[in-house]
Amino acid sequence: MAPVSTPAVLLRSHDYGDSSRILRFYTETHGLLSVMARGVRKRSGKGATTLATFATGTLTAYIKPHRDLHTMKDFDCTHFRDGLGLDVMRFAGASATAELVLAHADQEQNPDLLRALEQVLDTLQSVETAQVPAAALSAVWRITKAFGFAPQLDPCVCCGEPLADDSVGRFDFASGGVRCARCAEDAGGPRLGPIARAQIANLLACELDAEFTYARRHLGVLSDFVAYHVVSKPLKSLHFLGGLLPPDEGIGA
Amino acid sequence: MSVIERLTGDFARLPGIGPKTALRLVHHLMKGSKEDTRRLSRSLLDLSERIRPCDVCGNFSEHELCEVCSNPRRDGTVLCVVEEAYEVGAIEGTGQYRGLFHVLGGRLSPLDGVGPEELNLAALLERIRRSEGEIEEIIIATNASVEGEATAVYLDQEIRPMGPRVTRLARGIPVGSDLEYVDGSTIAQALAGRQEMSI
Repeated sequence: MAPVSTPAVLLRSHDYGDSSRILRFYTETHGLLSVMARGVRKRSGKGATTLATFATGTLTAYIKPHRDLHTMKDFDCTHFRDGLGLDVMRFAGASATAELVLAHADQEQNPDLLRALEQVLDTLQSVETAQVPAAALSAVWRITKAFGFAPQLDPCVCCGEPLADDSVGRFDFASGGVRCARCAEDAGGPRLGPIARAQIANLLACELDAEFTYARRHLGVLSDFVAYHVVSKPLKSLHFLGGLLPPDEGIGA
Repeated sequence: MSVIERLTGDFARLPGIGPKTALRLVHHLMKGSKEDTRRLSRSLLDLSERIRPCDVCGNFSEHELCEVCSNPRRDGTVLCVVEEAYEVGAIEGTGQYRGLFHVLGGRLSPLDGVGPEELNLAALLERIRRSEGEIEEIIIATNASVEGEATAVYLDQEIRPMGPRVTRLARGIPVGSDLEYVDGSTIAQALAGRQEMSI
C-alpha cells in the first residue's frame, strides 16, 4: 500500500505503550485523521522532537479505508508554533480552537478549514500581548464560521428588519443571532448593543480591535453559541480560557 | 462473566494494552505456576493498600514521606518540579541531582479540563511559602512540549514573585546523535542555549 502525503496540523497526542503515540491531525485531503506513530517517544524515533502540538507540516501515512486509526510513516514539520506555549492565554486559545476542530470535524476534506486553522494559530502566536484575549476569542469564532455556523448579527433574526445603529437587542441562541430591541422585549439572552455587535463581527473576520472590551462577556456568548449549535456541550478549553481573561469592568452593551 | 473475561477486561483497561494483548497475558498467567500468580496478586494488593502520595512532594511512597523527602542529606535549597512521579526516577538515575522534588501530577491541558486547580500546585506554593527563603531555586522539569512549556510559564509566573530563582532544564542536541538528523527547532534551541567552552 502506497503512503499518502498531505499538509496537516497536529492537534492532539496521546502516549501509547512504551514508546508510541496516537496523534490527531487536521489534514487537507482527509479531514480529521488519527494515526499511530510507533516509537516516536524514544530518542531515536523519527521526527520525535517536531511532533509538537499545533505544528504544521506534511504528514505521510498509510491510510486504509473504513479504519479509524491509521499508521504514520513520517511528519515533516514546516512550521513549529512553539510560541503558543510561551504564553498561557495564547496556549488556551489554541487549545480551544483545537478542541472545537476535534469535536466537530470529520474525515471529509475541507481545505478552507485547514487554512482558517493555520491562520488563527499564526495570529494567536504573533499578536501583541494586549490583543491576545481578542485573538483567542476570534480564533474560536473564525473556526465556528468555517464550520458554517456564523451568528446573524444584522438584520434581526426574528423580524428580519435591519438593526438600528443604536439598537440594543438580545442574543437569541436558539435562532442563532441577534434580536432587535422590539423583538427582544420579552426574550432572554445576553443584551447586545452596537459596540458588542461590531466587536463580534470583527472577531469573526479576524480583525482584532485595539479597543476590545468585555472579553469575559464575549466568551460567554461564544461558549453558549458553540455549545448550542456546533458541539453538544461547552468546550473545556473555553472554561480554562475564562479563568485567564481580564475581569470585565462596569456594565455596558 | 467468566473469570477469564473479567481479568482480560481488567488488563485491557491498562494503558497501552489492547484486548488481544490482555488475552495473551491471561493465558500466560494460566499456563504459569500458581505461585507466580499468587505473588503477582499479592503485589497488586500491596500496591493498592500500601502505596500513597508523599505528604510533602506528591511522589509515590510506602510511608508518609518518600525516600527523597525523608533523606536529611538531600539539598533542601533546590526543588525540581516534574509532571509525573515516574519522572523522579529519570532524574535520580543521572546521579547528578541532590535536591528535592515536587510532583505536579500532570500538566496544563485545557482539552482535558486540567487547569491549575487540578495539579498539585497549591501544595508547591505553600511549600515554598513555608520554607521562608530556604528554597533558593526551583528547577522546572516539565516536558519540552507545547503543553509542558505552557505549564512551565504558568509556574514561573506564580513562583517568581515569591522569591526563589526559577530555572528550566536546558534543551538541545541529544548525546550520541548526528547533527544532520536533528530537527531545526532543536538546533535553534541548542544555539540559543549555547555555553562557553570549559576544560
